[in-house]
Amino acid sequence: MEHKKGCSGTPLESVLTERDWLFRSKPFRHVTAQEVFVPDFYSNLESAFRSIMRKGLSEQPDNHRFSRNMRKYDAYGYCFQNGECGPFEIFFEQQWHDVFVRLFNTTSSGDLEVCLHHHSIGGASGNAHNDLNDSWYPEKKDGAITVATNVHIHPSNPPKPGENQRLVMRSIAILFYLNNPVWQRGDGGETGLYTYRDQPIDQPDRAVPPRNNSLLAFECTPYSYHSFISNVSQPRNSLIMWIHRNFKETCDAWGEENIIWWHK
Amino acid sequence: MSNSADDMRVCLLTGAGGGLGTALCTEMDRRYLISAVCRSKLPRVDSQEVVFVDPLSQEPKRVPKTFVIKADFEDESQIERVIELTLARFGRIDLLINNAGQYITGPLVPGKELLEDASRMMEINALVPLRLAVTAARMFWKERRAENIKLSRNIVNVSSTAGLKLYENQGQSLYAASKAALNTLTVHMSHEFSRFGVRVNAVAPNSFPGIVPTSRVVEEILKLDAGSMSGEIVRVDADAAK
Repeated sequence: MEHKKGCSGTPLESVLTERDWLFRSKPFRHVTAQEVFVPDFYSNLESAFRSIMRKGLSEQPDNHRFSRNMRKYDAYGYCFQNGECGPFEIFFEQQWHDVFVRLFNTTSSGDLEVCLHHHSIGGASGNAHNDLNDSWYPEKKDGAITVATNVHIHPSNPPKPGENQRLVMRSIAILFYLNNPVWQRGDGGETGLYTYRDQPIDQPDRAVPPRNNSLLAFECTPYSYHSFISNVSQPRNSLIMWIHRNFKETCDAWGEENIIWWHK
Repeated sequence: MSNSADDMRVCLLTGAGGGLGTALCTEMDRRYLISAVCRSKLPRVDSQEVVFVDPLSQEPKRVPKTFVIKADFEDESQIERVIELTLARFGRIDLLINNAGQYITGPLVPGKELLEDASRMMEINALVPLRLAVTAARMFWKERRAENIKLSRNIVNVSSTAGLKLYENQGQSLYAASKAALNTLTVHMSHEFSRFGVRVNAVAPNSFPGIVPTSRVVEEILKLDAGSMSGEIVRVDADAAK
């Protein structure tokens, strides 16, 4: 883990294109947006994604390239290392963080996790889950944004006794789709949104396609059931990030009994 | 300054997901509470299902005035449900805009597919507006004559110039017939609904937004609501604009 403060110097209003984001209430509260960034900026994101992809895929956890680092999830993940963010820095910044905290009218502990995911063709569908999970972050002295780079790799490892760590909870999940072939109905790779946890994965209430330069965001609640739906004919790439909030505020909002602990 | 809910007119609008539906919802936002009926595509306005947000705006999200009802009028039972939901949500119906329609064209001979669609198009374009009007009358208007007159309650059917004249080589026979039927029903409903003080008119626009701007169709519909006429078929055409 590391402390990191966004410093791209890029004002968000200068790179956002579409300012008509859609806030929907069914099957649970979520936001979608198309053509999120201006073409030049989006193009830089794609280039940066491709340069990471060129390092190849690893079947073992590897901090330096896309690797099999997620249990029970048929995808390769890449977590950003210090100084390697390039244009992705925008996702680590306070201004980006504040947009979503304001949209969902929630609180934040200022702790972020930002990763890239790659599903090869034929990636298996996941299970419906709600992301109301725990995370551990280092103590911090100021209100700066804190970024975790390895909690996604080892989410099931709570800190050992004596380690000075804070318990926080995932509060908002944001998926940004990029570097994908042109999506057509039938390609799969959507993010399914569900009313029920045991709903068939291929029968979501809503399926958000992985169209380039679009995003999906939702608050992590006991009801935010979602899943990756198998990408039958095209690879599927995305950036995924979580904004966290304090344990107590999460318990007040959703009840401690509804938290899904990684290590249990 | 926006009006209070009591000052606003309540509109039941069908076909809300299309271009005219969205334009009506947008234009009527300040003065109407809208029950917007659509089959699947939502109107591009704030509703209880979707709110448009500027990610950089510091202002709180507005409370939507448009209430979306998803209904497929090929299922006849949806007529009563739509009226019930509107009355449950807003307590009254001041304006019914029958805007849902189908546009299927083709030659009559050979015209197997067109004939197969004939009854469905007649149903959606003529009979559904009739059923909605009659059901609203039975469930709400029929015993409120004085109130209906005072509040100038009325129906606007969205017809077409195709129901008034022949456009050659367009394959519009059944579409035109369905709109002609709607025009005739408009005149008859106007006569019968006058007993309980509800006006009935139609707008008959040429193709929009191609020939007539959608905003003009909206303007004519709102003029009918604001006026006192009944039994009128108001043609909205490029010629009439001059």
